[in-house]
Amino acid sequence: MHTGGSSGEVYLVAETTNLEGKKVTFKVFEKEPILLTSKDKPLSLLVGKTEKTEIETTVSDGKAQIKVVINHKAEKAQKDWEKKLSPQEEEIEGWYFDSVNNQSVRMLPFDVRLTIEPKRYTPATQTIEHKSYLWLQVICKGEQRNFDIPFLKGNSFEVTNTSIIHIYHNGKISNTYLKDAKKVSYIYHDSNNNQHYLGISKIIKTKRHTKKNKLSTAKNDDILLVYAKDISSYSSGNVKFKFKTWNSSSGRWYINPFCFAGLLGAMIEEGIEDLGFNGFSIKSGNTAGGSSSHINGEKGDLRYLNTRNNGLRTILQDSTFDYDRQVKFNNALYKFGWGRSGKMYSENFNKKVKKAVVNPKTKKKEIKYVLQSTILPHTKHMKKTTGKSKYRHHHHLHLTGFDLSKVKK
Amino acid sequence: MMKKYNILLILVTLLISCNFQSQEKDSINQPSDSSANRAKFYNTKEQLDKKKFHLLLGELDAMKLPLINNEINEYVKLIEGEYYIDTIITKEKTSNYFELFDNEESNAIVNNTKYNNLFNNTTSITDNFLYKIRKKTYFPLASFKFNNYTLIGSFVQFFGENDIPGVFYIITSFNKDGRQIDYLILYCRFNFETMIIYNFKCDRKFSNIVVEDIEEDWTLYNDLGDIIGEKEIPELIEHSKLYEVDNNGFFKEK
Repeated sequence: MHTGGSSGEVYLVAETTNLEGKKVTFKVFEKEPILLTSKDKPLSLLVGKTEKTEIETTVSDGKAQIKVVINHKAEKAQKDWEKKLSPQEEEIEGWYFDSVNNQSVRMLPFDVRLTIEPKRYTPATQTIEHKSYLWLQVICKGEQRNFDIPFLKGNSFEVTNTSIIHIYHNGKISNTYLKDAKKVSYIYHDSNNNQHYLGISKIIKTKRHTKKNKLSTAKNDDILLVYAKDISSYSSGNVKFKFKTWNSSSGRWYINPFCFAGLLGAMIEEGIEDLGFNGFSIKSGNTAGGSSSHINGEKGDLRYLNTRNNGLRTILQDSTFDYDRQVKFNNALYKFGWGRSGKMYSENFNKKVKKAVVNPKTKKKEIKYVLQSTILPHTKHMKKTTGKSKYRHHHHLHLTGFDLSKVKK
Repeated sequence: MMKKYNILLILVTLLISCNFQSQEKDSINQPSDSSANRAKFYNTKEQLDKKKFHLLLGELDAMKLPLINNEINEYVKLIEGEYYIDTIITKEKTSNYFELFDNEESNAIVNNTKYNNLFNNTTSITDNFLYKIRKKTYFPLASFKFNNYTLIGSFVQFFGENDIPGVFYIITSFNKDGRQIDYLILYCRFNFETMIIYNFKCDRKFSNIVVEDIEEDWTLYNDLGDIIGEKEIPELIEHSKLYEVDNNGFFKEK
């Protein structure tokens, strides 16, 4: 592990040989002073409820291991660290955000568009992360010799002011404590143990909805949401994803932080860079746009994948519907926690498949294309066109049944 | 010394020209740089729109007033749980005039804050997601002329949330040059998880337009929010609003 959030729990671990039962002292230093005023002074960390600069533990089973929290005890000092590590929004010179097309455009300050539509174009900004890089000093008195060894002088440990949700290539997701977090970062761990920083999103704390338009009356019954558009793409080698189109006129851009991790994990698994995001919940956690079930950011809608890779409207019956990729993507969604407590929603559709059929004239078996009723993996047929309640799922995949307990690291 | 300045000058010129080149490459729909060319570009576009608008008016019937909801209903079909305009309308009235209306590629000014502020018109309907749907195909049917503007009634086939098809009947106001001023959704049929229904009544002078919107929710969910059946009694949310058209062609809530 190479990164951690302030307020986050971290284990200091030293593997040892022939030091069983000996006392090991850890000291943590900054490479450059960000949190402290001097890089020669060890950081004070929380061990249980006590602040310590020299953290002692005993070697057991060949390991000296102790849990610390990268934070202060006093609230004022905690806020001071948080402020020092807070990401800052900075304007990007010469770039403006076009709110209609949802993209940044390069313009000169006297561009005519800025005069005609001043509200449409606002200066584009980028988030600058502030991090502290730490290294570790480990001291131990042995029987024959003493040890005083620096670690992580080269590959330092990064501390940021955000909580981090870790997504692992094997489908696991960290159960990060987010209750008081203001922002959350997402880090993907690939199969070569490389870490990929996918991005950061603000966290919105809001009252839980018990149903459409109805808030919970219980005290402290809150939910957390992230803004999906904050992390819309990533690409580094084989690790990549992108939401190609955003398709909600009601603004359903808010999603449960862990559900989002499950979605990102599945997209990266299949390298999906053309997904149409149709929406989860609105900022208050309510459902909108004519929907009823999309409360608390736990249910979502996605466009089906197509062979044109454009993220545009695609129905299951379209010749451009990319069945093979969609099957893999559905399996990846399941791997990363979706469709676990209940199947996702789609519809049965007819698919051309090669099949051995008996020719009635020759009485011999022949391979022919036949239409076969098909349903995508981990989904159920949810089509109702009679009666009072009517719904279809041939134009979108309804994500439901996310269960973190099934994929928790 | 002079030679050095020359080299510097060439370098500065090159840098400036590079900057302008990248500027042109990144910008969208940017007309030519000179103001004269820019004016020409917009004039030509306006003239084309004006010409098209008058061609459209020539094709439309006079609007029969008062407008009645049932007449609209007759041309809306529910097919496999989704709403479509009857092919009688869509086949006969092929929409050649989509660019005059509020579509993605249009010059429409509906919901344009600058224009609305100019007329001090602050309508509350901009928060309504139906007014933010951009994938719409207009089938204009009839027109009604006032002194300063013209109203056009159109069937609209739209694709809402999750690309679900739905039908509007919209009254759009245009100025004399064929530029869209404002619009009001009178009629709607859209079925996502909830059924969204707009019905209306409109008098002969467009001074009393009643739009009644109903959200009808028949679907039964469990505690996890998954669909488990159908309710015996639907959950209903009903509103009724009264509008009029003002002298500038804006629809205002009374």
